[in-house]
Amino acid sequence: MQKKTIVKSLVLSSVLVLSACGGGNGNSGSDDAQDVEVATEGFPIVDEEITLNLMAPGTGNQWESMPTMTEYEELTGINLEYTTPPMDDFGTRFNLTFASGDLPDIIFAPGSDVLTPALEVDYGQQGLLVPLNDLIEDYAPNLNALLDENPELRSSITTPDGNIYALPRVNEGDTAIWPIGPLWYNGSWLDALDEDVPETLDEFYDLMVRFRDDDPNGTGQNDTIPISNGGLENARIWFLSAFDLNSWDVEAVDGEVRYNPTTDNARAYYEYFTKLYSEGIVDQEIFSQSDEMKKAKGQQNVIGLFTDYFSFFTTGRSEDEALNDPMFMPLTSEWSPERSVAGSPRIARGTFAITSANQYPEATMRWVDQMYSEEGAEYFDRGPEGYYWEWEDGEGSTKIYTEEAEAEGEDYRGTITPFYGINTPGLGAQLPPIGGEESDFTVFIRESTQNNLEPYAEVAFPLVYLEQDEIDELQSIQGDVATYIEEQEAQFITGQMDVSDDAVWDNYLSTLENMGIERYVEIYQAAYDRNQQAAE
Amino acid sequence: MATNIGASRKKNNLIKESFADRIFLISIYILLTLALLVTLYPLIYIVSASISNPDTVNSGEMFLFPIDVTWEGYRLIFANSDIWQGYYNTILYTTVGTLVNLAFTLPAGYVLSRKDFQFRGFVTKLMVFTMFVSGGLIPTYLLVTDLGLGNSMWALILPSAASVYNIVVTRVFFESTVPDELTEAAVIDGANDFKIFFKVVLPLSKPIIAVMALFYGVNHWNNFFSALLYIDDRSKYPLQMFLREILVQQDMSSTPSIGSLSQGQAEFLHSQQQLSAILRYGVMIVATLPIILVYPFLQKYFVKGVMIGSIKG
Amino acid sequence: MEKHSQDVSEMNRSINQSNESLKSKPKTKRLSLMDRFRLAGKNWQLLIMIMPVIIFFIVFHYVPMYGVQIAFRRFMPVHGIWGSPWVGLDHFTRFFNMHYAGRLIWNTLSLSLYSLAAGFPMPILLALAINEIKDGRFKKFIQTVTYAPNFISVVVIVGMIITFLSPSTGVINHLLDFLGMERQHFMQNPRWFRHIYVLSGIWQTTGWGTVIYLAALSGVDTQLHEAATIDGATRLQRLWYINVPVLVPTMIILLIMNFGGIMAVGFEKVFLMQNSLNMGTSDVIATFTYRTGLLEGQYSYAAAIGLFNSLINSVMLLTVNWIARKYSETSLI
Repeated sequence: MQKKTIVKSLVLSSVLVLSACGGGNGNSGSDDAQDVEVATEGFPIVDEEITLNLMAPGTGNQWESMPTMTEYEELTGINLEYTTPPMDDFGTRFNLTFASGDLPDIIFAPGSDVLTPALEVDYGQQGLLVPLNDLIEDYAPNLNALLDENPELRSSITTPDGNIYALPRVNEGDTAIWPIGPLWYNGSWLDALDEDVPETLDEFYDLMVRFRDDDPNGTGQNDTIPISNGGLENARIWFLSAFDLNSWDVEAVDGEVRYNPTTDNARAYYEYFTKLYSEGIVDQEIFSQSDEMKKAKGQQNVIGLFTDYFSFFTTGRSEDEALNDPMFMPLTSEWSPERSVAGSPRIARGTFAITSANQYPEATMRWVDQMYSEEGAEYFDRGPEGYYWEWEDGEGSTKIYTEEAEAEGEDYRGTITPFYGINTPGLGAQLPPIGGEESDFTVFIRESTQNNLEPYAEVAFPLVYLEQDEIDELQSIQGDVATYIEEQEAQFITGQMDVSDDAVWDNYLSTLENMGIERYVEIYQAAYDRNQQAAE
Repeated sequence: MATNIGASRKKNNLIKESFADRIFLISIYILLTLALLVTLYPLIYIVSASISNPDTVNSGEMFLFPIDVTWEGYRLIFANSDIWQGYYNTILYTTVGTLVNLAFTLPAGYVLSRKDFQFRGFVTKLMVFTMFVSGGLIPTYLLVTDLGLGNSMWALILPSAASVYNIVVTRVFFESTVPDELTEAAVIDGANDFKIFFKVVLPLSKPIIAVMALFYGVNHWNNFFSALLYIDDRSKYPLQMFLREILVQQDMSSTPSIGSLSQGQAEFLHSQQQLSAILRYGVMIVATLPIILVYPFLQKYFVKGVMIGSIKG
Repeated sequence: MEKHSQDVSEMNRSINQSNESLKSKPKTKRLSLMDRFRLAGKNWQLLIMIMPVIIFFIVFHYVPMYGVQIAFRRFMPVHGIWGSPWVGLDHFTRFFNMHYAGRLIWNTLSLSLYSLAAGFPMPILLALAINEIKDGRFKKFIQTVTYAPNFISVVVIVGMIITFLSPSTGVINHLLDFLGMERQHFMQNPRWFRHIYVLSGIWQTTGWGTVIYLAALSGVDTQLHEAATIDGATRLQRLWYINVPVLVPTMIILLIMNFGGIMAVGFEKVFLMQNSLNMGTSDVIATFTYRTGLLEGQYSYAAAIGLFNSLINSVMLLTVNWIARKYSETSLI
């Protein structure tokens, strides 16, 4: 039995057209809106074909000809027209599209660095994005189930006015808890020195000294760099855990929001790293080298500890050899007697929005909801049968790669589906392996994550939204503060300024105070309190 | 007698000046050779880097000649069939666009160089003012789309039909190379302003025509921003848009939601990053070699020079 | 020719006369508006030739100029440019109240002025030098080679700079080491930043910059050189007294125009060269606003900063123009 609803999108869209015209922006093609019946379950979604405009970051291939999209069009009865400017420049085009009022129907996979939380609030409150709460309730059974299961998910995507304006990607995969790429030890060095993965800050220091002095790569030369990276941005958080800090920004501790870089723990972190740097344990080029230069060093086997998604991306070794490179274990110390480490909230916001130009928001919601089911997640990742994968012996048997997929791999997948390197909406499920068996490496990653990170992971600060005036105020403070902290950290660590000098430290604190750090914390405290209320 | 004296003086001068001149010339050659080496080295480096193993480039091992030669970068670039469409579009846009630019700029530059043109100051101020006050992206975007130029070649050409800078440079060129007497002589010969410009001034102005063609042409060739704003149809993308797509480089380590990547996606991003190390150099050569090779052909228009003296006489 | 001159109408003669009369008048005497329009009738062909450009600037520059007001409004897409609420100078005060505003303006200006001071003479010198070469092939070769770096993308340039300057593996530091000097952390030192930026800029754009000067040099009357040679002038003297004066008007105009863009530094290059240790000199307005996300979709704030830049640019341009007018025969306006 299908429950059918008549969509009266005419009323909604005509109101919006009026307001848009008043503002000097015309929406085109709104007058041929028709009543279309939208099924709340099953396919097709609409009883007569409709066409929607979708705007998304380009993946380098033509979306019109991707079987995943064409077959989904046939299934749903919803046809799409695509605008896909290149990924790197998507933000420019996206912002201009909204500013000029020439809106597409769907914003797909912009990611939260383009459709920022601030813009969600701004465009949402201006009526350019459609509030999704009721639509989710009525037309998104899969997403609705996820939201009911997980109240934090709902509070993470609900803006201060109570509306949801953009849908998230919900990550449940093995690596979902990673906030950034993990730190990896060079396994062959540990073997050569017959050492284990250190668990305390002191053990860690001793190991790093041995990495530096005891020729772990066996070249007979003094060529090893124990710790290397391109900047500290994507490594710092792992070291901070040893000082009981799980973020380099605001953190909520027992309901109180604090700004971590002003704590005594931060000073201890600065001092520790200054020591590592001055003793040559940290790469002297860490602040100026690129990620590629770090990788080049990794391939020459001269670095001992580094971040990357997988260790073999840096070392250039094979997947099998990478099984021997252990994942960093968060360190304990006098500052952090109990092990804890930063974890990801496992939600990526800003991955899907419906604009006010869309005459069929109900159908659109059903269209995207499929991506929040396990089945849908797999469909959109791998496409329909017969392209990237096929049945080994008829339907229901084992899935195997097709010849093309074997030969061209990911490049080929990129011609099948747009779920390829962009921040797509839906469920980020751990998909069952193609070919029946999980690889050793997949198991290794899962087990390492489960042993070293998951039990200790904490979300330092929930995903919150700010009010428009809070955003305006915050951005000015943040610009100054972020720049100051970045510079000071580098100057402390390289020894240009002595962080152990109380006068220096006091000056550091008072400068931050002058920049308005208290107000900054206040704003986040308010946002935190709102978030906690919404979650209850 | 008189001619003899003249000849011997000339001879003396020749000997005297050839010594000073020789030192002068030698130092010029030394300086130029230095300049040549300094510019040549990085150019060779780039060519070598485009065919070397990217690891040897990143590690600094490759510093002059290619190491571990691989043509993978070029193979990947040209495996993309869109590249040829991109070349076609870019050549079309550059040619048409530059012709439009010249049609706007040369007459304007000439008119502004005429001291008897009474609106000279006014028009110059009108133009210079736009260097400082601009309506910004939004009204321009709305204007271009309202004019119905969206998704067409003209959106890339008309909004940049003339540049203040180039018009002014053209004006100065005319001011300093077309003497007032020339115009006066032409007027006495009974030519009107159209005729003076087309029959007298333009034939003498090959160098500035070549320079302007180059300045505008290079701009069109490198332009991707207007295409990004106005062109939706991939079959109309200029070369630069496709090259940017190829170069899409995602620095994985800064992706905000890193945990949301599947293993396959992570590996893809990694391979992209590796590719971009090879591709970056190759793409640049593919993109710019044609426009660099145009230059030697334009140079002959500078070398010939203008024989203004002969006209005067 | 005879026949042709007979075809010429009265009007041409009168243009001629007006030319003459204009010339004979002292330059400073101002024409009344009526005079100008009377003259317009005589110069109608010139007006027609410049009309396309006037129409172009009106349509594509003056029509969209209403957008300037968003610097004083809080731009909201639904309300459009005309309907967004006024906020007065809020965006400006927000910018100036920032802790780093002073440093950003100073860094922007000093980087730009340094680039201009060091970079501006280079194309002139190179063009004069190339012009002395008589060997056609060598001349062509050196022109093309020095011109090529202009087309290297910023990403590649900065990549090369960082690679060449690396303390451990860079060519430059190998060289320093070889010469017995100390290896330098070029990129991590704020004192080096400006020099690296400017020198690499000179390397990249000098050849390109010679194009216009070489074109101007092609206009030099060869008879002048011949006459000077007979009079015993050396090459250097001829260069100084014949070639340089030909370049002067172009030099002055380019200098004025460059001052009019003084606040526009190459954002991408600075941004890519920047790291947390050299920000003391490398942080400019454009990189700061980009890095801190202040401009993401915030057209009003961007417009306000743009207007501020324009203000400085226009003051610079007008000042230099004024000086040029006072001390030379060439000026922009």
